Amino acid sequence: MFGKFVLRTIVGVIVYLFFGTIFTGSAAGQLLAVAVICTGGVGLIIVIPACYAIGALCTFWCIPFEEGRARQTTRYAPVKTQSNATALDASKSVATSHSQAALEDYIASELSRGMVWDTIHKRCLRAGWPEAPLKSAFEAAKQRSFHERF
Amino acid sequence: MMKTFYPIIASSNWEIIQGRLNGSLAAPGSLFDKSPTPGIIAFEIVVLVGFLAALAILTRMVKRVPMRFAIVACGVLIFELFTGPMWRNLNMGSWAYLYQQVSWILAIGWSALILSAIVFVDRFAAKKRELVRFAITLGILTPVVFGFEVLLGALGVRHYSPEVMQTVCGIQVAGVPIEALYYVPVFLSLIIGFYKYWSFVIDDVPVVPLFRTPWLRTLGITAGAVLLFEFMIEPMVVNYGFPQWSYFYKDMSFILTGLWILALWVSINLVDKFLPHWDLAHRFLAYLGVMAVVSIPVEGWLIQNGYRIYGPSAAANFSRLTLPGTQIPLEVCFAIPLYFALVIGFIRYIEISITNKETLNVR
Repeated sequence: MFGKFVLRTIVGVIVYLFFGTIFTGSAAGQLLAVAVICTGGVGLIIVIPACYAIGALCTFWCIPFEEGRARQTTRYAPVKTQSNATALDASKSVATSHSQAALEDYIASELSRGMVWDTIHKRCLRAGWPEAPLKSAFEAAKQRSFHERF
Repeated sequence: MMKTFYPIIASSNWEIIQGRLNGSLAAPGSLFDKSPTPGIIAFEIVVLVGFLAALAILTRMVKRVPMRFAIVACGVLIFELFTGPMWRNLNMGSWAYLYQQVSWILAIGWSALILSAIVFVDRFAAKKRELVRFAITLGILTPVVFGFEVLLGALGVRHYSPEVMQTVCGIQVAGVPIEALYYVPVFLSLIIGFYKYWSFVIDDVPVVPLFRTPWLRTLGITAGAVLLFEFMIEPMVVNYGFPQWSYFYKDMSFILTGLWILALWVSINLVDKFLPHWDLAHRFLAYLGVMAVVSIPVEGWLIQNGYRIYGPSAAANFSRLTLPGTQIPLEVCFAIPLYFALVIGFIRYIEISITNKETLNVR
């Protein structure tokens, strides 16, 4: 993850300097130097995210944001509902993934409004969600609403 | 002694503040005719009565009306503050002004009108899809708001800045430049989009998270939103010194407009990518924070290097206070996040409406 972050940031700096030099001459390099050196490094707070953003944009097709998702898929294994404790542990691990947490929140919210699973399922599929994480999130959301109720 | 309380204010700024406080320096935009005519006073009374009537009716139709009204008013005020140099509201009486030529009476009037139209359309076209309701609201409001523009012009309230008058083609409809037929729907789209986004927060609407980020679709929506707004505010600022080939309309440059589109597109998608578990309100703040951090230094650099030259009407409204350590006018520092707040609200509203088209039209 850190390696990709560094790689994207470096790509961002190169792209910025390349296009900046074409359009503004030496001003692009000067801006970068002033932003970093003259602020005693504080400017890096802006420069690094900006360069990372440029790099991420330029490389998203060849360095996809797959690392988090790949990790999620291993966690998407359907939760066995043998006991509440097991399900809760599983749901906690699932919730560590941000996307999965968002999906759980969504499903729990829809369930609390009385929406049936079939409809929720259909909507999530339309939003591109594969079957496995959906079922896992559904189980976790069900457990959560069960615990909230009792 | 007092100076020590404001260590971040540059000395030149401090002199300006002192000048304002002791009256030796007039506030910007304070020298214009505020004396009202009987017709304008009558108009203001009608607006206030209409506002109270709208609140009374809306309270029976939807919940949390004050909050909804506050959001629309916030959107209207953001727009008026940002585009203030483009039009002037004169002769409304000293009581009617909030800041420079921005009038609170007009703001609450527009807000009541827009909120009423949205609530009525949402009520009577509840089965239509969200974007269809958006189009209906826009279709209803555009002629009404244009009619009010004509009325304001006839009363002697609304005047357009010289920069705007230079860019218009000269055709007028009842004294209002025909270009208002473009300005009005853009203004309304941004306000309605901003309100609708926050109405999802107020109503706690569950928004389905996306598994994959639709990069191309958000790029299209972002480009559309930024271009619509940029065309409108084009008279306010001159983009100077970019390569000749990059200018595609008057002084609008592919490089600069493309830069804003790119920055906005990347910011929105990165926040959605990495913070999908945040609620809509916090995510909005994250979009805005990222954009402010990226855009203020860029805008400052462009101003300092002469790529962005604000028109005389905009410059006349500047307080001459600058961001400490830079030459960036303080108004610009505020105006940029304000501009992006409206555009981000609009972009996310359209995106959510597309993704949740089934969810939103059955509630």
